[in-house]
Amino acid sequence: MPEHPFQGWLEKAANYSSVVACGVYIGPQSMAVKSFSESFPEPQIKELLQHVAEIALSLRVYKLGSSRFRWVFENGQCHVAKRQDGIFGVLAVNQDPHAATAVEELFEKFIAIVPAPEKKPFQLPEPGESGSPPGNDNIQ
Amino acid sequence: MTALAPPPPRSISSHRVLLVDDDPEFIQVMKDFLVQKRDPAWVVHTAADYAEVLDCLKFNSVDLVVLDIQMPVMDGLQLLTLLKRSRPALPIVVLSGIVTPERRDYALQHGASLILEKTGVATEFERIYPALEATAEAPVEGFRGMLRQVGLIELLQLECLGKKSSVLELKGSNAGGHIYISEGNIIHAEFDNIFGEKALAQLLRLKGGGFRLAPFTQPSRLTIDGQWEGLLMEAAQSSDEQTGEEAEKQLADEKAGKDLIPKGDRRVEEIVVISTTNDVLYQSKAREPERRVRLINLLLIKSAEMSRIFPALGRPDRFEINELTNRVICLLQAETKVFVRLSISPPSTD
Repeated sequence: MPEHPFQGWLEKAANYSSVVACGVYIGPQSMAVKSFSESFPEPQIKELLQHVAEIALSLRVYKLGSSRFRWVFENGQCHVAKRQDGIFGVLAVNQDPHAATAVEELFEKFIAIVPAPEKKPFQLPEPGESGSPPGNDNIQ
Repeated sequence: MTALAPPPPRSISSHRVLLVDDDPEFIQVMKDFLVQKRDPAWVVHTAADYAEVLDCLKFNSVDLVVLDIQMPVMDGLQLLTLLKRSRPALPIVVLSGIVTPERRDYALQHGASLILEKTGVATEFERIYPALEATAEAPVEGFRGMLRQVGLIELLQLECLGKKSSVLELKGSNAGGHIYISEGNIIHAEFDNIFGEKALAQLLRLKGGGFRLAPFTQPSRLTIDGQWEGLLMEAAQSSDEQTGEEAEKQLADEKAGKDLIPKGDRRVEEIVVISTTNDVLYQSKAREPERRVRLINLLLIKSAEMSRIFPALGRPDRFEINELTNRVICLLQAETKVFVRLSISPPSTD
C-alpha cells in the first residue's frame, strides 16, 4: 500500500540533521508529526501544531499574511509554511548553520506535494498504530 | 571598629559609584568602606529611591550602580529594569539579602552585571570588593560593554530613538569597525574595508567581543541613508540565518566585489515600540497601534507556551512573517517588544 504523500515528506526530514521535529496540520483532529530528538516528544509536537494553527488564524484576523512565518528562540527556530489548500507544514530546527537550507528545501517539496484526492479523508497512522485518527478533515 | 585589610595597589583614576538603598545605615557603612579602600578614593553618590537615582544620574556620571533589591514602593529589580532601559551599558550590581535562583536569573536576564549577597558587616565587604572594582573599570569617556550583556541592536535602537549622535566602536575576536549615528540616524558604518549597509550587517553579526560608545565625530563619508528601523530589523533577521563559515564566505565574496544576495527596495511601513506595561512608547505610521499591542501580547503568550512545551528551545526572541512583498518582524524579548512591517519591492532587472 502506497504511503500518504505527507508521510513521505515527514520521513524526508530525517535526512536533514538540523531538523529536530516536523509536522503537518490539516485540522484539529488531523495532524501527523515526526520527531528526531528526545527533547521534542511527538505528543507535544501536536500541541505545538495547535498553537501554530491558532496563530495563523489570528494573523488573518490582524490582516497579516500567514503563508510563511517563523518563531526564533534562543536555541532553535520553528518554521511554518502554508500551502494553498490551507495545510500547514511545521519544521523545528536547531542552530545548525545549514538549517536555513534544510527549511527551504523541505518546504519547497512540501508545497509541491500533490494533495490527496478531494473528499477522501486524510489518513495518517499514528506512530505505532495502524488505524486512522478520529474526526479527520477533508482536504480542500 | 572592625579592622580592614590594607588597600590594594594605587590606581590613577577615581571610580564613581551610585549606591541605592533605603537603609541609611547600610549606605553609610558601605560608603565609609569604599572611600577608604582606594586612592584616589571612590566617589560615592547615594540615593534612597528611583526619583533620587534619576536626579543623581542627571547631574553625575557614574561607573557603577549598586542596587539593593528590597526597597519600598519600587523594588530593586523593577529599578534595574528601568535603569537598563535608559542606560543599557551602565554596569549594575544587585545586592540581595537572600540570593534565590529565581532572583539571580531574573536580575541577570534583565542586565545585572553581578548579583551579590548583601551584608551589613564591613568585613564581609572585603569578599565582594574585587567584584565591584572589576565591574567599575571604565574608560575615561563614553562607556563600554560586552555584547553578551547588552544587545547591540537594542543599544542602537535606543540611540536612534533618543535622536542621539555618537560613534559605536565594535571589536570582535578578529576584526572591528564603527557605526556612526547622527541625530538618531545611522549615517555610516565601516568594517574591515567594507562600508555602508553591508558593513553594518557584518558588525551586527558579531557574536562576541566588546563595544564602546564614543562621542560623535564626523565620518570621512556618508554611506547609509536608509531608515534605521528597517536596517536594524533586517540585520536582526539575517544574523541567525548566516553564521560561521557562511558569514566568512560572504565576507570574502563581498571583499571581492560580489553581491551575493540581490534584494529589492525595503520600506518601513509601520513600527510600534511597546513598553513592558503595554504602553506604546513610539510608533510610526501605525494606523491601529493598539491592535499591534494585542498581537504582540498574543505572540508572547504563545511563545511562552512553546518554550514551556519544549524547554530545549530556550527563551523566545522574535516572530517573523516572510512573504514575497511583505515582511513583519516582532521582537518578543522581555524588555523589547517591537512590531515592524516592511514592504519589499522586487529588485530591478535592469
